[in-house]
Amino acid sequence: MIQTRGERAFALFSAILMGLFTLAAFLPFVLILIASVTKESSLINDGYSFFPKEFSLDAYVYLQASAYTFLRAYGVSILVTVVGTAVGLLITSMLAYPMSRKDFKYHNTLAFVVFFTMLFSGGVVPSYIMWTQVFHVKDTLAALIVPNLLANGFNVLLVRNYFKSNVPVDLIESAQIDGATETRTFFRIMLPLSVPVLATVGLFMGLAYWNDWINALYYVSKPQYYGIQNLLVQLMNNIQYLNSGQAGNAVGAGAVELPSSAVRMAMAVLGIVPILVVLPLLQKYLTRGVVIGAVKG
Amino acid sequence: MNRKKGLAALLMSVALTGSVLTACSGGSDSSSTPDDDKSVKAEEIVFALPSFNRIPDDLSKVTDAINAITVDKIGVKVDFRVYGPADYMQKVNLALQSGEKMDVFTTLGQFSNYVSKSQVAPLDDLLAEHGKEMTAILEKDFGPDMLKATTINGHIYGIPVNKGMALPVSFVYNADMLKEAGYSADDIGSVDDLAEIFEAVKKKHPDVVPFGPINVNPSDTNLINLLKGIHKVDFLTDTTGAGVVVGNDGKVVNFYETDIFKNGVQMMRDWYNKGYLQKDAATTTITSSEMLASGREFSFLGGYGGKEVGKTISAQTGKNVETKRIAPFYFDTSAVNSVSWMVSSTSKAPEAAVKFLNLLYTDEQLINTILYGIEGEDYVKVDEHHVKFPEGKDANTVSYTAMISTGVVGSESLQYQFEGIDWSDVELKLKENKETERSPYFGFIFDPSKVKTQISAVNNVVNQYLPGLVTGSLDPETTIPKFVKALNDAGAADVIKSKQEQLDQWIASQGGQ
Amino acid sequence: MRHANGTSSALRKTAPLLMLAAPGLLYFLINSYIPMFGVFIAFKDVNYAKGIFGSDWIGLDNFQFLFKTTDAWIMTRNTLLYNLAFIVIGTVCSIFIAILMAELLTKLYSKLYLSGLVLPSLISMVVLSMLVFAFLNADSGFVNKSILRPLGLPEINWYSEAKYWPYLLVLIQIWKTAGYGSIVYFASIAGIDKSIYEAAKIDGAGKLRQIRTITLPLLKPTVIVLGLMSIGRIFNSDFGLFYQVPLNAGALYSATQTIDTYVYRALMQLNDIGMSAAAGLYQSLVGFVLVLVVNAIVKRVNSENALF
Repeated sequence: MIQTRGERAFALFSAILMGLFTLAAFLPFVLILIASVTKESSLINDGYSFFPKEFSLDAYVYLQASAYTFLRAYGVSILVTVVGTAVGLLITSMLAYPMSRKDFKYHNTLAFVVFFTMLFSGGVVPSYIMWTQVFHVKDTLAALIVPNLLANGFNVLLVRNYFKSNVPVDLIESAQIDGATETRTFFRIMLPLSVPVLATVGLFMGLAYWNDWINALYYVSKPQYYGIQNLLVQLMNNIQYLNSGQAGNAVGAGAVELPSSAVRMAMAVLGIVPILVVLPLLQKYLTRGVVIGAVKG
Repeated sequence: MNRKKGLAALLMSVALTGSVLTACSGGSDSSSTPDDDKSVKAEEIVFALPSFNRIPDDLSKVTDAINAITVDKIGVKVDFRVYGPADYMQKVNLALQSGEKMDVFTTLGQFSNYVSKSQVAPLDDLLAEHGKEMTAILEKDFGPDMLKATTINGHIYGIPVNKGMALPVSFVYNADMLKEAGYSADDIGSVDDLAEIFEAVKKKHPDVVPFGPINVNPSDTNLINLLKGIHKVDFLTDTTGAGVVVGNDGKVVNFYETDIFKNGVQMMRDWYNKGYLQKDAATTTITSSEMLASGREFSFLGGYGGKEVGKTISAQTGKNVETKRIAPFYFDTSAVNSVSWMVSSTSKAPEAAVKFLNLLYTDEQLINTILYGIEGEDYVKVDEHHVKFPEGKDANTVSYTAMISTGVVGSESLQYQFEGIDWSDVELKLKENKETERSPYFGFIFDPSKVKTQISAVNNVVNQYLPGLVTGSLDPETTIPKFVKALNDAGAADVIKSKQEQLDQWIASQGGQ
Repeated sequence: MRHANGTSSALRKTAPLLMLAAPGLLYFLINSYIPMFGVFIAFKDVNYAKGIFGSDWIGLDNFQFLFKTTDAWIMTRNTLLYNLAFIVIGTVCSIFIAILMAELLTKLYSKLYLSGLVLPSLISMVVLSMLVFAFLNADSGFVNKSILRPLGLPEINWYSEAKYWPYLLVLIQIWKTAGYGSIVYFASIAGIDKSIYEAAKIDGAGKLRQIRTITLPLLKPTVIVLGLMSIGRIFNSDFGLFYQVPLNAGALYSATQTIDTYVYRALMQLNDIGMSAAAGLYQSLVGFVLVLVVNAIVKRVNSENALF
């Protein structure tokens, strides 16, 4: 393939801009990383800095005492993320497929039904009553996977839209003329042709599971079911609660020893790093949309 | 048309399933409990404790130890739950709102809200029968009037934690810096002496911030508590400050319109202008204890019971910290009832719950098991009143401790203290409980339900202006008029009027007794 | 006879599709629709002694606190304008990034970028607020200390000057979400048939023209669907962004007060589930009406692109 001068200029321009964007995205994270290895007193006296005067691994040493808790929480988070994303992706795309078929009588009704759930909610209490008293999810792994996160309207409509605008109708029609059932068409044609959107939605779901702490807050009271975000959020919330004096005279402010800023940053790092390890592996799926031309041709 | 009909049918069926579900869930809930009762022959209650320590993985050992005491002594089995402070309210409220079993819980600051929504059960009859020992210890440690703070319309709805309730505002400072600046503790008599000291500290250590807010987000310098103590201001059980009584004249006024408030924030403004506070004092994210620890700050104001707190803060910050009281304390109702233990109005075993509360306040073994865990494993005794961690363990490595919750549960006079804390301080606190001046309106509890809309709007305005004023970062000359106007627009007058009516009624009812 | 045949063949056609949709629909029914009966709490004066169902109906009283305040106008205006800015600027930035990204991946293959795009969205608002404070605090913040001071410019007390915050908040929001949002567009671009570009190239179309005539039109359905979904939530706001990041600074309220922050501040002490349910219902209803209107307009222009 020969590149014109214009194309090369454009590619260079893109590369530079993207480099800048990526830098802008990474720098604050680097700042967090550096803050987590900065000496606490230096953090307070000189503020956050890319070039701190004094380094210290105190924050990680402090966290090391709870290494077992952290490892277990990683285990819970990984399990929940993998199972939840796999099941969620399947039911999301299965629902999106009929909605994308204009010859399906209820495609608009379904879209409305799905979209409606994005706008209205009955609030926490009714959901809580239902999940705990009808489905008895309390203190189970299902409590972390099933409520709220398994499928959402946004993702369903996203997949439907991709099916609708990126998979040619004649492909489906020709498959059905050949006698393929709907299920077969879905699994053999729709899914393989939609890898980019499945990877995208899978990424969204995975991040939602990884970052979720609400389900555990509501439905779990045993620490062995806490994922990594729960540890982080609980710590942050407790700090904020105690710092704001809402506890009033419940505890003398002097009585509670709070983790330092460096520890909070170190915990933020612990929550983010695993994702940074996994993300590059996803890359190739996001770009794998080129097959359509091949199939058609 | 067709589509709409289908949708309506769907919604209809949803509504039906919804009501069926709730109906049957109510049924299953009540049917499941008696089974347990028969097998153990002890009534079971759920007891939720807020813990400021690490939440332990496994509570079964401590729960068993608790039950060994309670089943034996009062025939009550306890389902023991421990939640972190930020989760606590959320979890307890969800349980109460959804009708889940939750018998004994605390407020962490919102007592009257629970009463006005009928979430808690009146306890007077049960207390007379099962709570005699508890009433006696409350009277001994605080005085005969303690339960007035939790009495509404003649019914007792809660039991305040029994500890040193008087938290006079103290000046907390780095003693080394004070000395270097050429002053001593004797030079600190009242808040008026502070500006001079700040100036000297600033001259000696230009990089040090002389004074900072104790709490952040929202920032609070403790100015309001200081003014409450000095000028005997009763906030009448809501924290907004829109309706308070100064002294004993029985007239409800807007605190932010008083000269007391004006002069107070003017003093802060002067300090701020002279550079005694950080420019970002109103929005900083770093608390004074962190600032003190790093050596960047000289002092703050804090409200503490007893006189030992300087030692604790020194240990935490690694600096030589001392405290000096600069204002008396003044008991208004919320100073006493803010942490109260309550029994849910939906509790199926209120009697067992009160029996348990009675034991919680009077049984040394029970309260210390709840706070410190299993003797020999989680703590060891040093002497009659003191404990320490077992060799080689600390708060993070023992399998159970809730030692920081000492201030939220039970009777302080029965709790073990940690090694190094002077026992005479506990006695001092109890003495001050009895000696601290009570507001003439001690026991009045405001019911906000009639003016909810106004209170919500007033809250919002207070949130907006107060942190800036108490840290001196806003100019009171121009800000107070705006603040007061915004309060009035939000309906402060209605709140004041409603409070005045209720207060007048309350005073009349007191006179009758 | 013919008629019956018609329905049964229609059934034969729809049944398998309905079967595929069933698990998802069932989930939405359970997770979203059943709890929706809870909206009635918005019209109740909740009293636990009477039970939630037995509490008194009080009509619209729970909604009053949203309107009986001088902030009502400010918070509505802020919520709407910020959301509009986020939708428009966010979409433009996301598409821009997606196009650049697609351009790169065919040539300069790098896995770093994907991480770079997602990373900002992973930082929690609490941590972000600490970072923003590190940049903006008056005494030792990066901007004042390392930029304005060396340049001899007057220092700015960021947390007390509301006029900067509309820009700051938009900037922070875009920084946090644009990369993440671009992934959707990126997936759409990756799904575009490459032969279309080849054909355009043979016709002599340059890169910019290819983008204008091929990429952007093909992204239009995605833009419209995402836009409609955002409009549905136009009365909602990210609490963390408007409360945590400005550090709840009173001086900034005129620029940071949104419906969600107001509700939080107003109900912090009352803790009244009736009133908070009312606020949520109000936000949803406005969003719902707006979506119905916009969707109807889209449908009139091009029924293909409508959401439903």
